[in-house]
Amino acid sequence: MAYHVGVDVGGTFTDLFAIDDRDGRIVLEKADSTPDAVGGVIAAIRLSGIPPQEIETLIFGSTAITNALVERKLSPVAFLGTDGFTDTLEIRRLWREHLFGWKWDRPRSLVDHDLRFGIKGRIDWQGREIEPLDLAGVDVAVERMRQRGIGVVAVSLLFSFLNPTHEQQVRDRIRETSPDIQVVLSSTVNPEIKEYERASTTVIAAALAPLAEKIMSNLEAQLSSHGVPARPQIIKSNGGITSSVSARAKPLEMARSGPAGGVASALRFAREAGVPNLIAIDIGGTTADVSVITGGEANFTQQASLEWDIPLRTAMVDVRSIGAGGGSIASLDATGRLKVGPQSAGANPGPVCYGRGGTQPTVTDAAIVAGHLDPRHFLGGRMSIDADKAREALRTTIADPLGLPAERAACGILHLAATRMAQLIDEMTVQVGLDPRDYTLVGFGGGGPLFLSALVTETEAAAGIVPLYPAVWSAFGGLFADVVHDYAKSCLAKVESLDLDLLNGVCAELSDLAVADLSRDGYGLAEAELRFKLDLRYEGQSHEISVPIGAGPPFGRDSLATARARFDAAHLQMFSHQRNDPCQLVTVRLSAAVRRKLEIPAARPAAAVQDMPMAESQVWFHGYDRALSTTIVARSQLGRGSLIRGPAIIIEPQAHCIVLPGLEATIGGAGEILIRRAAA
Amino acid sequence: MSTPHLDHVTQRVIGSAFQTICEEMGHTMIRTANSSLFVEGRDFSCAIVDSKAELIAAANYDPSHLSAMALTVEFVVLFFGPDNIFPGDVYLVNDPYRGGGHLPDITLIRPIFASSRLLGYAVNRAHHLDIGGMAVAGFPGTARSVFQEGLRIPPVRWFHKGEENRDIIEFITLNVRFPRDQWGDFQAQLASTQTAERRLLRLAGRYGAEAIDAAMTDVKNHAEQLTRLMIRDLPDGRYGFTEFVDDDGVTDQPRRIEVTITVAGDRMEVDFTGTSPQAEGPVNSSYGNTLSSTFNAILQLLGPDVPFNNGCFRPIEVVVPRGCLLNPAPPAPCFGGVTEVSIRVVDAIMGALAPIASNRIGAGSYGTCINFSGGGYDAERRASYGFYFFIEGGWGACAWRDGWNCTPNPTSNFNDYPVEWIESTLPLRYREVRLHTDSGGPGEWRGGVGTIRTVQLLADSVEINSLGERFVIPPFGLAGGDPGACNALMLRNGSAGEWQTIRQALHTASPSKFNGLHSGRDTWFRMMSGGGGGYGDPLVRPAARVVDDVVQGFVSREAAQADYGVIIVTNPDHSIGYDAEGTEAQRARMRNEPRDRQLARARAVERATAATAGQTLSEEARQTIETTEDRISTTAARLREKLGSESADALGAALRTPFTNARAVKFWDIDSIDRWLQRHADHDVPSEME
Repeated sequence: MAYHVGVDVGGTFTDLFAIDDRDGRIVLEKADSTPDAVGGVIAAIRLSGIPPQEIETLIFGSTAITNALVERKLSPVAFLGTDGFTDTLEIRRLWREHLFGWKWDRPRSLVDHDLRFGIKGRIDWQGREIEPLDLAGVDVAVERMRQRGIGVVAVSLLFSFLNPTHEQQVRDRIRETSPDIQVVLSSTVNPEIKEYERASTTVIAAALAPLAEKIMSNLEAQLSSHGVPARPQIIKSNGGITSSVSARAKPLEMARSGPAGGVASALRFAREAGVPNLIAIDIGGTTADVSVITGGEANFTQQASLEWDIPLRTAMVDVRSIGAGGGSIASLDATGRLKVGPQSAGANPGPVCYGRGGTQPTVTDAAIVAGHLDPRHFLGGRMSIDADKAREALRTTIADPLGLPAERAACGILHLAATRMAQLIDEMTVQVGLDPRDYTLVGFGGGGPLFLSALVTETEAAAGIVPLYPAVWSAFGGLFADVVHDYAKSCLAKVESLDLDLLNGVCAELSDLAVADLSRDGYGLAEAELRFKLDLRYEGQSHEISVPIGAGPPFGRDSLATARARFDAAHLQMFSHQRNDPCQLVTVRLSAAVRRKLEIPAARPAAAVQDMPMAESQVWFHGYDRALSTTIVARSQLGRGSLIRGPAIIIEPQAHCIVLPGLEATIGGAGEILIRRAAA
Repeated sequence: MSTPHLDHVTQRVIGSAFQTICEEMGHTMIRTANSSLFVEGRDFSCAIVDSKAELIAAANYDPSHLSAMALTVEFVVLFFGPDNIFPGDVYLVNDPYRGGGHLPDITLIRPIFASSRLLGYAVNRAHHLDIGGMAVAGFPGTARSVFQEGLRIPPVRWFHKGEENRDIIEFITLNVRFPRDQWGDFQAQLASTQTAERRLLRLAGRYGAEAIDAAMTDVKNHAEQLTRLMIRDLPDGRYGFTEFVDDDGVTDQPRRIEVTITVAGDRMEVDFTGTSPQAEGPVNSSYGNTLSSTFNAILQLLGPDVPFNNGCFRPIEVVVPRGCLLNPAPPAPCFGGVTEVSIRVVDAIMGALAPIASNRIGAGSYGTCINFSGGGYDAERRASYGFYFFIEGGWGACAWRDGWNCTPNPTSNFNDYPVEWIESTLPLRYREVRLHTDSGGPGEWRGGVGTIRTVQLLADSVEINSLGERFVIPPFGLAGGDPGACNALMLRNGSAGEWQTIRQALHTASPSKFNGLHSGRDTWFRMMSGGGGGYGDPLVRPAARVVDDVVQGFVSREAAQADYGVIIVTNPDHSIGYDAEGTEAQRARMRNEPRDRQLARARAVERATAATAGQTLSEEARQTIETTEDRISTTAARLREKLGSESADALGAALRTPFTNARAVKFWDIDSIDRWLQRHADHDVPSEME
């Protein structure tokens, strides 16, 4: 047994990344993705030459679920809600995306009115039943679902997070009368306050269920029929992994798994390289994705939007994107002012230099014109690049109107793109009381290394790192990820007078859920690390801060006091003040993690740019009115401890790392490129 | 690398940072405020204003604050004098006659200095749940003077040179009903301005104060150029429209808003001459609020890609005579000016411009906040409480799409309060929140539908207030589209009672505006927001789209037939479909029939036109205005004589005295002017100005 394989199924390609744990040898492969998301995996394994029976671990990452959500290619579901409130799915939280202007389309409701059913019965704000459930109403709704051929129903009743009995009665009734209809309860999926967010989350979970079932069973079957002994594990939105069995049961946890692989890589790097504060920047063709790791832990978010005002509540690594990738289009507005993105040329027609019909200059074109990308080595030299065409497009649409040489305009475009990314980094750090100077940036994806230097300068970060294999770093991530399950339950109470039995009861409930999920993944509770957090706020506020509670469970007053003190400190850090007001508990959270240990000899570089002697070239940079003599060197030629002074470009098959003037690069112990401000 | 002039790219970088800073101010506010009004209601705005008191950027959740924010800063600078603004100062003001909108909107202003150089001001304006006065949680629908509306605060220094004057907040919070929460809200506002200060200073540290100035100039020029391009796109000419306020709350008499817009090249004049005199009840719009509303309408044409700042305002001249509904003399009450009349001003301007800008805007919208407020004592939670509901509705359709459903009106943008949140914190039980089916005006493009929200009181002796609009005259349709439905507020006693209008049940003068009514446990209130007007002939709306309206619950089967001539059927697979032949026949029959909704609106407009024909200004207001104008012109003349007209009109002078400020002379009231003269002992003025 030897191979640990990670696969990342994208829209176009399926990337494979494998490590042989006997000698640390690394295998990279690429195959065309298939519509079922699984065919590309099998093809990539075959192409890689890895004997299927030697695959011990297989980690599956895919954008298939994320994409199905974004494109609304989901199975139709029905919705059962409290009578009088089923239109909540259409009404939503109301607010419009833009304050001004009529050029906006309000997204369509997740479930049409004719598939939303109201059921009489009410639970009040203290969890008491004030009107019994009308089961006859359930029967009527089920009959309509049958007529319409609907196989999945989302159930979300008012205050079910406090008292799930009515929802459970609905489920039991449907199981009894129509066992073929799958029922998804809000009290199971997302037992948290705010009825619209909970209903929306439940509907999304219900709509994903058939898709997850299809992908997972197909994956298991195909792997097994091709002789792969490994049971597949899946990357989740929280940066952890889980078994395909658990993934089926909780498809919602994969809703944002696309960018999570990169975060898992960054987490592993943070731990192993001893750099606990990292900002991960994944730059692809259309977006730059940023996540922040503090003290070895990724910053999380509990809510994201599928579309405008269509929320999804689940524990996710907080990955935020801006439309500033290689394909982002540079243009002048009606008054002649330069802007970059958010429009993107995508992969088709793509940048002008691809010669596929693109006419609007993109960030990639600007990098070609400025000399930051060497056409001979672009994408490993597999793609022919038309630099003249890029230059011409940039000159006529941007440079000439601005009265600048094409190269300077190109540098302006790159700088503007970099400052937009830097603004996003600021938003995720400075705005929440974190100081970017305490962080190291790690740049990956095809474009990460290109912008890393500029981002180190703009954000004043301590340093920048380009890891080995930056272009496929996301695929690599899942291999080392931990098994992580997250749970949450709303529990509204004053911290100062909190009933400890109530709190410990909720904690026990969450632990039980963790036991069930972990055992499906093949682990016992003893192997897991349980961390409880409380979402607290000052009484009267509407936003909470999540803080770890003190020792326990069972938790005592002292644990609560610790949590309260941590909350005050966090509030002070984020908002520059704290208060003496009473504190309110809103939600209890549990994260259960099993740390996976993968002992592997140091990785060895797989492929390299051959036959490329170190050279000098004339390259343009923002802030200079002439080209600078710049060192061009192949990464494979740089041994550990090498020092390269900027301006320089370090080239490897799928990425170009820019070292700006005034910065310098060294090669670290793990083969990483470390970029820092040059000592004066 | 530093260059003497600011290069294009750096200018763009700093320019976008201003907007980001304002958004960050908003983020701080949302994350730390106590009141759900700020957090969910988003009833606040954050802005950066430059050293010339001109708006540079704003993260606005509430457009009614838009241009009024800079006007408030200008008032503060004029009032204290530009030499008396110091680092570490924080000013606080709420008076509608001093650049404000209505009393609950409290503005904090923090000047920001890089060493001793004034970079600009951070401004946070936020709607507080209570400001004293005759109505719990505000909105006294029958107030007859601003004094009844609550506590008036002239510009005061909460902080002076970094020292807190705690008396100010002690004084204010003694005069409001929810001091503890509001104390937290003041802290959130303060934190928000601190955020702006830190970020602006960081920017200045990096690029230098001069670069900040240059970038501020550029963002204003940018917005101005984009605004001029938009105006140039409109055909030259004069365009008029008349809108009506249903009634003023004190009486059932409507008020007229008359607008005449002149487009000439890349300039525009918006003239409100012909508008009704100021009202007895709280439907007057302060000068600042009228400016905000006017620019709000213009920004609806411009869209979200134009950075909004003072540059947008430059090509547009606004004329608002003193003493009219839109530039009242004190003590006229102004509470509804911000939430209601502002929307009527937007509607009037949109009504005038929609025919020539049908590629940008569309038909009339539901246009109210209803503002259902109240409170009392909650025995179950052992606390006094207040609530304030403002409500979304349907927007007008336009030439390329249906109107938005259930969306906040153009003068606001908010999240609703979750049902589970309301019931957990207030003695109220929600009974339903559902679509107001058939409220959207029929058209080739359908107006958006409104919402029906029904709430049951669970406490005894609840005081309730309301200040709504568009209960009488429905929003207009365009290009042959029908009007949308009106808004309504109903009540009944118990689940079996009869639904009645407020006027029927409680004998109020107005169906939408009242104050301090007492209701008991088990009274049910129903807020029904109307829909937007339709665009184009409903009989040419493709039948499949009407079917989809039924599928989505926007149109009932009955209305599909009555309004659109589409006969809805149930398909064999139990989905919804239509009868093609029956539909064709029905549509042919309907083609020559009059359209009831259009007739009803025409009748309502006719009645309002007649009722507003002979309205005159009260003698008290007329005399006050005369005195004010006289005081301004004589003082201005005296100043000019002493200084020579040239220096008096110079830019520096514009921020020195109200008499040399083109905006101040249009709205400062006699009280502000006299206080200014006392404060600045007028013989000192000339020397100060030299």
